[in-house]
Amino acid sequence: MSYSEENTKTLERLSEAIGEENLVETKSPKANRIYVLIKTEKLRDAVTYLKEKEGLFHLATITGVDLGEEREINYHLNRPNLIFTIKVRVPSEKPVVPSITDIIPGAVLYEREVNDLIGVYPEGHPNPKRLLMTEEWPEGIYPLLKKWDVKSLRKAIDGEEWT
Amino acid sequence: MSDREFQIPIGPQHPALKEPASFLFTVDGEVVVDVEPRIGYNHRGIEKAMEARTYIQNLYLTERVCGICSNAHQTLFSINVEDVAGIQIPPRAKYLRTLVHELERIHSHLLWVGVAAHEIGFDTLFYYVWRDREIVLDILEEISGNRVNYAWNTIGGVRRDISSDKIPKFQKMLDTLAERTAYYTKVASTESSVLERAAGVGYCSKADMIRLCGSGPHARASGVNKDTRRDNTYLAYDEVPFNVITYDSGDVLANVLVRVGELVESVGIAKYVLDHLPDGPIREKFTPLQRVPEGEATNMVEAQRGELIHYISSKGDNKPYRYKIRAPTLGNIPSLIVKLKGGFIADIPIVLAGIDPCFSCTDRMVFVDEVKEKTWDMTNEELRNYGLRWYKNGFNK
Repeated sequence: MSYSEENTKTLERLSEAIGEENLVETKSPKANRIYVLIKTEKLRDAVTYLKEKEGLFHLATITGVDLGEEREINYHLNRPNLIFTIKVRVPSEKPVVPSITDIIPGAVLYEREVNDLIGVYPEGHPNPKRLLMTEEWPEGIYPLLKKWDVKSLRKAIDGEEWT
Repeated sequence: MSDREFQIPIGPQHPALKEPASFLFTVDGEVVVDVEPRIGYNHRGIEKAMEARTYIQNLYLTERVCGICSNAHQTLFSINVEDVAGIQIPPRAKYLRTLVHELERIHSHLLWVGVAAHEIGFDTLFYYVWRDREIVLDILEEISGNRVNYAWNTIGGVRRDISSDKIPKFQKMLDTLAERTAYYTKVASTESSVLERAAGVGYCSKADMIRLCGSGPHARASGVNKDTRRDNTYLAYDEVPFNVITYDSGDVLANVLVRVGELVESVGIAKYVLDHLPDGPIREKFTPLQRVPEGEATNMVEAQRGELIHYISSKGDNKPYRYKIRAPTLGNIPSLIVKLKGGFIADIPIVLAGIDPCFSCTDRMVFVDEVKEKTWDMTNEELRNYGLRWYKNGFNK
């Protein structure tokens, strides 16, 4: 069986495990790369399934992307010959995702990083303290959101105009 | 925390270092019982800055993420943009990228072996290794013009070619390196100055390493057989023969042996690449303001410190919509904490250095005695000397 067949099978089995209606979008722009957008409430089930049954126990990192109305969180898992990205989207008014640190303990710092920079709170994280931003950093300012640029960030933090 | 335990904050340190970090150690006598990491002291907002720059500008920004693995970041950025733009790079460019990628690994691993030797008080080895490191830096300087930050890649290929009349000279220099690394393998596995300080120190089991998603030489030292060059192959690694070095003991000694073993492999890869350089062009055209179609790409390379991953999301502009960088040190911190817990204060410098972090040369440390509410400062030099004295007096026995 070739790698790409095996990867397609992984995707099919994931679809069966969490239910086809919970897979919103899948794409594979390149061999050995799979991106799956799933419903947020199925995130933990999907991660558990991929970790236990498909050998995708290594989490490389978590990326947050600001899409305006929504924020997209990408979980980049990998195994030999496959980089598998699970995506979930959460509304910007209530940016909360379930934590997966108890399933994959390696997520412990990545979830804190996403919370610091893009403001998506990992619900159920054992220690959701700040990781990158200083203690003096104002609450509610997440620098990787598209509404901030260098000028407006400077003004919001210490009231100085950027010249 | 019981009455017997004290908290020792270590770091954040000298801003001149690449990645300052702070660790709050809770100790009971000489034994570390808990560690809390605190990072971000040198967060420069590079991901945000990349969103405001064109792809060609970002090429030089990514190279400045790190001083030691600069080429790994730049190579991966180029691969990612080429993926989204649908550019196939010429075979010669693939080989030339592989060459510099491996030469950079050699210089970085030699640097690390020197630092590790210094941390355990074996300065003779430190001088030897850093002298030999000059050989690889000379090669890099000759082919790129720089000892670090080579500006080697561009989107679509590489920026310079190697003239074939220089290859015999490089082969000879690599032969000298091969000889020296064989000698270091012997020193690392037999010299009592190394064994005394490294064997059994800073242990992390294979199960913990997998659970905490460690990567690179740090994970291979715990028996995790994982190497991006082989597992998710890129550039010319599917055509170049090499071995993945693993050791099972999971201690600092295994860290040394894995890196020394990888040095031998990397020299072999560099020699193979020089022998098998395909002919042809070295790059595809990519204009400075070129727009990249909508799409996303995720790629990984095996940087010298571990797995490096970049993610790009493009919305069809000449700038990335979102660019994410995760350097290996962040991924290795959770398993580093396992290595520090249960160890002695005297071993902190070498265990910290074991993952080859960018913050190993802690400049200043504050020790807090919680019971007596007393604070005192210790420089890294003093902590290192404390460790050396501690072992000299045989307190570990």
